[in-house]
Amino acid sequence: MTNDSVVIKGSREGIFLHLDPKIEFQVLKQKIAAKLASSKEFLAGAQVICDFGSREISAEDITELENLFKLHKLQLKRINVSRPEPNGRGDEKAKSPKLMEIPQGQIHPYADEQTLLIKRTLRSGQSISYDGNVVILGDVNPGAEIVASGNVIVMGALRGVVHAGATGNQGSIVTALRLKPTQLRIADQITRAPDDDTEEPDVPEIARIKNGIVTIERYVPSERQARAR
Amino acid sequence: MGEVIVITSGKGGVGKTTTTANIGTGLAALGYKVVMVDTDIGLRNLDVVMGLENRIVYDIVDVANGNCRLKQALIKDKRFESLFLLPAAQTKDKNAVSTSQMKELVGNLKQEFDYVIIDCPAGIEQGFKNAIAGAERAIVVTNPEVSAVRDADRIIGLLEAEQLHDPMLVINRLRPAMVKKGDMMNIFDVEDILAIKIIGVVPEDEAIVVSTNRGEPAVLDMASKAGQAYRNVVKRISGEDVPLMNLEESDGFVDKLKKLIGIR
Repeated sequence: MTNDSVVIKGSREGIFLHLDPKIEFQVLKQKIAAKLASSKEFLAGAQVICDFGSREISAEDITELENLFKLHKLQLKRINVSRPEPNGRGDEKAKSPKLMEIPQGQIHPYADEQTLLIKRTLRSGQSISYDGNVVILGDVNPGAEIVASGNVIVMGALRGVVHAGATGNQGSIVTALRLKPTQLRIADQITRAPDDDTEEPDVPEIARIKNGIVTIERYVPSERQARAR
Repeated sequence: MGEVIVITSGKGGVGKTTTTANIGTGLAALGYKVVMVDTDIGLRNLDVVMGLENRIVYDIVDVANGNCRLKQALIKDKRFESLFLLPAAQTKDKNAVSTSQMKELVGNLKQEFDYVIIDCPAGIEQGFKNAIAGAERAIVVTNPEVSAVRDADRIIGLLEAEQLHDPMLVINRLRPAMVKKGDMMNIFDVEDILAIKIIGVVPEDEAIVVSTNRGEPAVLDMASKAGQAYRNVVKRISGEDVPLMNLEESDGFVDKLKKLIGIR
């Protein structure tokens, strides 16, 4: 094939013209003319869809093409262009979020203790103890153990042993998407599910100390809770 | 002064923990004061089989290292006032306890209890050495298959080297139908190789799977064949002489009918 720069394909919508974005427009136009001439009346009356790829085209270019098509009794129906690839064009910013530059030593007003993020499931025999909050992206299986001086948040099923506020913080909480711990401890309180408990919660729940006892409730985001009051 | 019995096998999965749970519960049901000690540190199961997992606060490693008093770590059973469990640690390994610590611990336990039943981990390494450290008698659990019997033989040798002579044998998971067809080793084959006293033959029983999942030892299930076998084991341990039960009467109705009209 000598002429890969112009490829004609039939489709239900009409004739599809794939045009090589790399060659110069005037050359391209001549090649299209040559192709159309060789097909003579065969294509007459059809509608044409031009795919320019990543080529940047002007309104004049389009008019020129339209005139060319008219000569061959064709009608330009649509043109397709793809976005230029982002290399050295100065438009990367629009494609990806800007990375933040965080000033050193500045403490965010919302920040309190340290938080440990664990992006995996804790299995039997695995144990995490941390001076701060612990967040698990995964499950905590029976036989696994989390001990934290702060809060514990499990984005998954919590089935193991958990101890929040292990250094005595009564205000610590434990939340999980499925809160089914073997044993749950907050500060100096120890609880476990009753032996005949077969109820399976399928909503996120939160455990915290209320009036001196560990209470488990359906988790409601704090803003909504405040509004409800 | 109580008696310290270790339950061991060498090979894993033959039913040490199930046997421990059933013997411990069975002895407690007879009115004895019993403590079961799980020495399988890092792979504890006895608490799960007993349905006591969610009561664990302190474990054997805490006791050995003096992080708590022995009494604090003992978990009272749901069913029997006189039955206790000392759980293993799950987040440590077998080397977290030394043999001298084990000896001291077991020595303290036997002051308080009639029976101290020790659940040994599989293998012959540190965990095994710890488990047998304070023991006075041993029960070897095996299955009627060559690999389990081979390991049991090795264990019996190791027990003798530690001055634990004349261990007792429990043959677990026997399938009478397969034995009858000659597809499984029978009691005499096993006895021939190991040459120790058999104190129980426990048939394969689906009730064991159910009881393990529920955390209710089968020994309390009067309808279960395995439960009956364990009740007999318990009686033999406590000194009663009970004949081995006939496992062949587990024939189905059709077989009984055939027997009746003399087809066999």
